[in-house]
Amino acid sequence: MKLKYVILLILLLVIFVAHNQNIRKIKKEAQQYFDNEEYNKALPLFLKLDTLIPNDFEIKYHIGACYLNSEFNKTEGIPYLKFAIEKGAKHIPPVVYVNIAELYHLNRDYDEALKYLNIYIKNYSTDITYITKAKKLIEYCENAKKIESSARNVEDFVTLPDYINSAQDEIEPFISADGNILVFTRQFYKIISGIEFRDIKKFYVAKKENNKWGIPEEIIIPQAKNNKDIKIAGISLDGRYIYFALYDGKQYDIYYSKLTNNKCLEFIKLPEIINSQYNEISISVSRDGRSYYFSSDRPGGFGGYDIYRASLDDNNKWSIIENLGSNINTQYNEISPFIHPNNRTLYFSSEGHFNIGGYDIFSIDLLSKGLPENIGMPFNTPGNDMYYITTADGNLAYFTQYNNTKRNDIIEATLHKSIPLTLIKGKIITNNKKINAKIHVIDKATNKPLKYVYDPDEETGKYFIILPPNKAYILIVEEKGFLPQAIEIFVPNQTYFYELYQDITLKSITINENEKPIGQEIIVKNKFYDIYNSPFIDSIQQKALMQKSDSIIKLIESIILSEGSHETKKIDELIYLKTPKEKERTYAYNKLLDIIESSIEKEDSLTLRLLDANTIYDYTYEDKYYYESEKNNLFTIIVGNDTIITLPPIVTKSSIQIITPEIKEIADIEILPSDEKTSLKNTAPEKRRYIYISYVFYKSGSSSIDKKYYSTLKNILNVLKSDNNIGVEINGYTDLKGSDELNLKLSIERAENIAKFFINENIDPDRIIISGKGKDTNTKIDFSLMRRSEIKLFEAK
Amino acid sequence: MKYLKYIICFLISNYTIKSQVFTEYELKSAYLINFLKFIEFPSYSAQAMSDTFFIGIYNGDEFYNALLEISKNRTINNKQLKIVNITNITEERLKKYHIIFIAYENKNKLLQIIETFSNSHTLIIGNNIKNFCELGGTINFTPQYSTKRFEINITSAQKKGIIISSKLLKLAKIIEENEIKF
Repeated sequence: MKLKYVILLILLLVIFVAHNQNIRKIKKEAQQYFDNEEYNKALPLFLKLDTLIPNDFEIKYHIGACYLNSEFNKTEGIPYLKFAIEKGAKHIPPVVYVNIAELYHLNRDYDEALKYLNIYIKNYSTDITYITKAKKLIEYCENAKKIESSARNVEDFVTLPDYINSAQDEIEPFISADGNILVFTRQFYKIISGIEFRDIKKFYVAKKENNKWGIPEEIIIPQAKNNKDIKIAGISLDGRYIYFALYDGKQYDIYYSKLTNNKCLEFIKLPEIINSQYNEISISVSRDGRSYYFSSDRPGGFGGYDIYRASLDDNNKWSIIENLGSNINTQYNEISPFIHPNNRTLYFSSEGHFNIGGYDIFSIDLLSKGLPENIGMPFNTPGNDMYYITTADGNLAYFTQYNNTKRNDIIEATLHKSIPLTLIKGKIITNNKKINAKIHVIDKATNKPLKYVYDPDEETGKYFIILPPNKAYILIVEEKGFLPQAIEIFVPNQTYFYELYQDITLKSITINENEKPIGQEIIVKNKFYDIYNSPFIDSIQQKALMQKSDSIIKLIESIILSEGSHETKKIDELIYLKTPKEKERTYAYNKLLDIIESSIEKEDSLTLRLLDANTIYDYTYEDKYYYESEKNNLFTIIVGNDTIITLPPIVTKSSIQIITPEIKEIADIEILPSDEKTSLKNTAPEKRRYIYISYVFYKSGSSSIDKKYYSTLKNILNVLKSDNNIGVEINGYTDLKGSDELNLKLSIERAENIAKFFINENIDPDRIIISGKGKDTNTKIDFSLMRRSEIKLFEAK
Repeated sequence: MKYLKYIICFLISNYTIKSQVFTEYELKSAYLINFLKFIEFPSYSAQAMSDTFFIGIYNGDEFYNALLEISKNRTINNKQLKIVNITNITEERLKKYHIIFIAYENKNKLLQIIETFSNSHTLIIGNNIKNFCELGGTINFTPQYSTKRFEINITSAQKKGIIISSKLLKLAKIIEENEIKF
């Protein structure tokens, strides 16, 4: 009996000793890794120890420190460090206060971070190693608290779909100016016995079609290049070229490569003025291609990486280089510059300036003398925020957030902006097998050539030109086998961004096929496409829905009475006219056919006109030139050092231009002379026959018109312009927040701002009725629906 | 029941579908298909007896492509739609077509075409061709931003025995045929 107990006792003892030995072994191993700064290996061991010996502040401290130094999930260290401080503050290094503050800061708990930092500063100010860091952290937290309240709406931030943002890391997005080509890096990870390691990285290109991102495809680069440390450094505006930063064992230099069929095979090194003996890592090219903005750590700067600009001189040599100065560059690193195609807004990331932690994204207007501005939250976080790039219209921004808690993803932010620029996406079509064209652009008013010469893609003939508005330009197209052809275009004055599609077809005129051409023909097709097209068709359908509202009421009544499932389905169809994606096109065509049919059925001319006003028409201009008979008509244009003899310019106007001057001619209604005009403004309410209604909605407290409504307003404007017998009634409303008095004022402002839009477009104020209705007490469900202006078109009965 | 108003309001305001803009080609194709619903061919004609609507497109590849796309799997009054890209306008079989759409043509050729089809029941429609109706064409689209989207030559329709719905006529600019054609 006794023996049995003795054996059991011995057995327990053996287990206990083995166990202790085991713990000691793990501890030793963990500590070794920890001391070697191999935190990802140390962490699982310490976590294991924590289960074996719970509530040991030393182990907790080590776990916290491992998390702090890990790549992801840093903030999971908070409870461990907190425990360590509470239970054993005196036995662990005082830097733990800075460490925990760092994690709280990352976790956006600035007050808690400041609490620990203040303890540290108060008690350990002699600790020189970490005091600077502590002070910097205090600055970050205080800055963050200052800008926290003015953070933008997170609704505008979208993480790209999961076929782009995979379970791996997606970083460093670069986008073409039209927003249709996205190039990015995917960092893969591998897990070996529970520990994660960085694996290879690959580059991808994704294309947007019909407003939807396609599946990204890998960019193939030569193996020799792939072996070296390589990263994407930038993209050309048209997305045809990718810039790479390549490490040659000593330093990073920048190369560019043409992206053809998802391959970047040939790498061409940028000039020496850009590539120094030091590192150059990220680059952005100006709209005219004559300046490079890049980041370099060459000596002579303000410290770390600085942003430089290299420019072509008048002789087209890369001879001008400048550090962008202390306004932009600090003692810390400045990287990832992006010069917007407006050629004045520079975005970059910096560890200095008004910073809330890590790298923050800043913007600066290069033409004004101001300081860089932190672009605010939630773009900027306590972690690293970098690689900010926007589309040319300024409406979409892409960047990666290194938020340290999970994998990095590419974020798309809608900025609700529209920068007045015109993007010409053109194509040269000839019979030549390869396009070997050049396009010079001349500002017609000053007669000065823009310095950059555009080279259409030799395979596709495509080109991409961004021009400031309200100017006439002459494009001179030079193509092998043809006389240079000048094309005059006018970019209208506009307050927002336009895309112009242009096809230039060059044909030879021959009498017999094999003979020398006797002339040439040019066909220019321009189509302007307003990217801010509002859901116009839908607004027409809204109108139809309103007309149907009686039947909806009856339907709902019958549902309430019968609770029949059949009707419920019907109402579902009415409410959610959602489209299965693959049938979107058919669905849109159904809508189009229905609108036309019902408009004919109702003899509703206005809807047909609105539909027409919102349709993209192609405008084609043709000219023929016979070499022999028109020799004397040639033009001489001096472009820089060259003299180009061109055919007389073919004058094209944009479709937008055509609306205004020709509308009177086209409209077959008689326009009354102004003195005989009856004032629509004085039409009594009961004498108004309403023919169309549309809404503009507002953000709380705001009376400014969101850009997205401009195209709706433009369509209404076109109707007003085409028929002087139509008046417009504008009613402003507000939600129920705030005093009656202020709301009445706001509602008037809202209506007035819409009226201003029409008046600025030369609509006679006599045709506009505005009123502020104050709080909207009729709509009770949603405040956002109350904040609106109602725009109603009417005819006098 | 008093909430109904708000439900309606909700229905209307939350009604958002991705914006859709159409091209001139799509728009006009949609008109062509819709015209078939508002037009009656004489009961004795081949057009009326056919179980398929034939629409011929002449000189307009872009229109042809758009129309082909829109008419896919679609029937009008239970009749199939057949879209044909016309290469030879003088073919005899074209006289059985319901609509022939002319995207562009010069005046002389146009007169010949109109003459060729004058004894058929085929509706000849022009794409914003100058003086199309004056020259004897039946329907012509007007330029963008016009008050009336199309113009109709009633005399020409009457000669062909085609009845055009009064609704269409109300939306059209009515053109008197010009007797002097040259």
